[in-house]
Amino acid sequence: MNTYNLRDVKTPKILFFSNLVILSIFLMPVFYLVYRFINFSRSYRSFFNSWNVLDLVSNTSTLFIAVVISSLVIGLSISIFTVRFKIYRPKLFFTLSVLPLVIPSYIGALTYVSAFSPKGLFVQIFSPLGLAEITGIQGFFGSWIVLTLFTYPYVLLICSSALRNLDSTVEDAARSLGKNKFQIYTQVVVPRLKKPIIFSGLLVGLYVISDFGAVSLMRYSTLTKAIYSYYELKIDGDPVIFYSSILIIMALLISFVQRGTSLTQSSKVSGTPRIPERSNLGPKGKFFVYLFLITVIALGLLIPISVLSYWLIRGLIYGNSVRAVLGGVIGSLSASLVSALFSVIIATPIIIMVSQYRSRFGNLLERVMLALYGLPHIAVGVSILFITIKIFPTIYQSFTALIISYLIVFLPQAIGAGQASMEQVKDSYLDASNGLGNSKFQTFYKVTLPLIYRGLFAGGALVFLSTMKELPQTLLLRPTGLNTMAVDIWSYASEGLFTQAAFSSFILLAISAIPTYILSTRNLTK
Amino acid sequence: MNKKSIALFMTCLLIFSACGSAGEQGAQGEQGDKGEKGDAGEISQAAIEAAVEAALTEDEADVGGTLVIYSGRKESLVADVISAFAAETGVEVEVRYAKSAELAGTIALEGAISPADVFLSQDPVSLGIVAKEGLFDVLPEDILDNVPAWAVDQRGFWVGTSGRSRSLVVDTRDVSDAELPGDIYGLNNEVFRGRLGLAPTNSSFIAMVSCMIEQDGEEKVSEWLTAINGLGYTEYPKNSPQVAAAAAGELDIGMINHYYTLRVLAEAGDTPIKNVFLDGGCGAMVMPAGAGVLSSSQNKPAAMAFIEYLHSTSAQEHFTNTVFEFPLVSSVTPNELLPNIDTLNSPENLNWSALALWQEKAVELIAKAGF
Repeated sequence: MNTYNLRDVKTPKILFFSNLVILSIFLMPVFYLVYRFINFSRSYRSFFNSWNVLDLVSNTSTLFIAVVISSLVIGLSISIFTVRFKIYRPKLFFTLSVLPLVIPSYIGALTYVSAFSPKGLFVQIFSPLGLAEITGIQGFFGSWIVLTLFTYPYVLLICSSALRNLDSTVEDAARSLGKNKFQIYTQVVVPRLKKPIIFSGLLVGLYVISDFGAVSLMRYSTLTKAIYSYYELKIDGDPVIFYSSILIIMALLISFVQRGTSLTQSSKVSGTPRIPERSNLGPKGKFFVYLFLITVIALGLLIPISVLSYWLIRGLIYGNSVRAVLGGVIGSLSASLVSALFSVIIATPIIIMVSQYRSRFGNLLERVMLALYGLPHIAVGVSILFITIKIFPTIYQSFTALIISYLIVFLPQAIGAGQASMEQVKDSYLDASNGLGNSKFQTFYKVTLPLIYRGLFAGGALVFLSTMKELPQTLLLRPTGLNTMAVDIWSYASEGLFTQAAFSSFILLAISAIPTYILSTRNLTK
Repeated sequence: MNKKSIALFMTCLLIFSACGSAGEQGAQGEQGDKGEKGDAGEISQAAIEAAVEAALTEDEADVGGTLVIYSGRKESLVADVISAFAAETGVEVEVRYAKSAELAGTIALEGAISPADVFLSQDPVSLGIVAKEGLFDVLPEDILDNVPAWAVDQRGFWVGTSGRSRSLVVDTRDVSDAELPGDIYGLNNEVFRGRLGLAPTNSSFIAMVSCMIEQDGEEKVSEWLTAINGLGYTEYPKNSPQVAAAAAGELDIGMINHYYTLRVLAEAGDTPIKNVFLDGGCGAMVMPAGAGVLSSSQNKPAAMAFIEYLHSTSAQEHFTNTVFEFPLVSSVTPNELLPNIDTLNSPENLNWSALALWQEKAVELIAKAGF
């Protein structure tokens, strides 16, 4: 890591103060919620008496556990199948299994809700075979399926990368001790992947408790859905603050535990790892593996894409106007561009501070930024909304407030990507530049920037994509008249207007799918 | 201090100045021409009266500027009326669409800084919340007199623009008239297990529950809500998807406002659904959708002109013939699909501002019952 410049270098004051300002802006939403939380006029117990707090927390936790487990099972299985077994075109299967990652959960949910409602698309297609009605996919079951399908790729990417680098000498030893294939995987391989498993599992978990779109469309009462429902009923109600606070506490706990499992030290063996040969599968095993892969790909990719295509074509036939979605496209693109641009500009001084000037403040900054990653968007949105109304009315309902809110949750992505590229900036380069008589700014401009601009660009691109898909903050904070594709999709889908929702969904996917795939694959597989 | 840090400082300055100017632009964009006239608090009562007077006496051609409408009514129901108003008067209109209760809460929270000029609500309870906070101007008598007395706030803070009735949408394939109850409490019956639909965050549903608390007391309503939840229900975000679900055969009985059913029937008369109007009680409540002018508005002439426009023949005809609501201006004939409003057995002499006082309790009871 960047351990250079540990000498006598003191952080320049200006860098210190500018980062201090950024830090305080970024911490404001959390501080505001804490302030409101300790100043309730009612007792905490009254929340448990008159609001269904326990139900919501238990629903959220149940979904968390269920999705984490199922995502781990699916993600790990596919990792093992595509990395360790002789199958037909493993790379193709791997890519197809990762692809559901590009589908935002609310788009996934809308395809499942519309296709598998009691008398929906699925029943209509199979009605000639005598199918009249199905139970319908919604509630816990629906949320569980949809969130699993669109989060297991995180596990797959992280675990398969770890699996590829896993030395097989221990497995060989186990084999020589007479363990069979199944035992080797359950008793040797999976335990050795403990760290990537915990890390990716908690990443999925963070995603689950923060998800708003899928659980809302599935009508499953979690904390996020309750926050928005109460907000719609009574915007400044105590429950809105109370639930947001609980949600943030849960998220901070999860990300705290997650960071305890640093990926960098996981199961590394000195020297080059011995990569085992892909092993052969018996006919039964082959059948099972193909069946599994095809089922998952069908559920995560084929069904959503076919359902969307169906609604899109139907909408085009019925003459849905393209103009209706245009406003959302323009709104999304402009918000995302501005958000990406500022994320790069703000990330740069933070990256330099953290990497080049080791100090207590730098460490604090780094930790805070990491903790902010994974803060539930809806809670941040609620907090920014109240802060702008009560403290900064000049930016209330403004584009500025929306962008600040995006940056608070997405900046860590830009910082992460930039910091990774900062590793190329060797201490010796800086010394050499210094020796040649360059000032610090010249060094930054001539040496550092050319080495890190790709990383900064990648970070900006990530922020661009995340902003484009963002839903709850946009719903709460958008200026009057600004629409985004995500908002359009959500409001059409919640009214059951699936042909219109499909239109915006398609455009969103067309713009974001390929870059999301490339960047996520790059970021999660080191 | 070295050059590098200066450069970084400059970068940061740039960021914040850029943020600042973007913010100003945003604010100007929202407030338009009004921005120059200063804060709401600085406008004297005389100026307000003069503005109101101007709006009433002068031609519509004299109103202008930007008008910000917070609309709790759906875009598909009112966008045509709003754009017709904009086209006729040349006023530049910006609309923020959301649920009525949400917008009422927003305005209450915003107070004097509210960017809104007009609040257009789908229910009287949300209007009552803004009135309770003292954020509405009193409307002139002649605007209030356009509509019947039941559709007007007693203190004149808001005026009705169209009428709607609570009703049940039923799937006629699966529901027989004989099993339907006389009032809303009759839905608490084992025969309806798993067959009911409702939209717990819908403002009209909350208005109905507020009415029930006012008329029947908290305890009875709480029991009813808990019982309905216990029977198993399908939750919808809004009324219209309930009608769509009933038409698709997925929902037997939905608690809605009457007009969505009529919209579907007007398009496809053979759809096997119908409206059932309950016989008395809050389940049969007829209530106005309405509008008021915010005291903090900086374009009151345009705001008044807009409310008057909502009472114009063309707007009222739109409400009854396209949205299938009851027109409130007597010169406009109700659409033929509508029942005669006098035959509906709504609770009489409902005091809308009293109902508004129950809104918070209604929300709490709905949440407590587990919806």
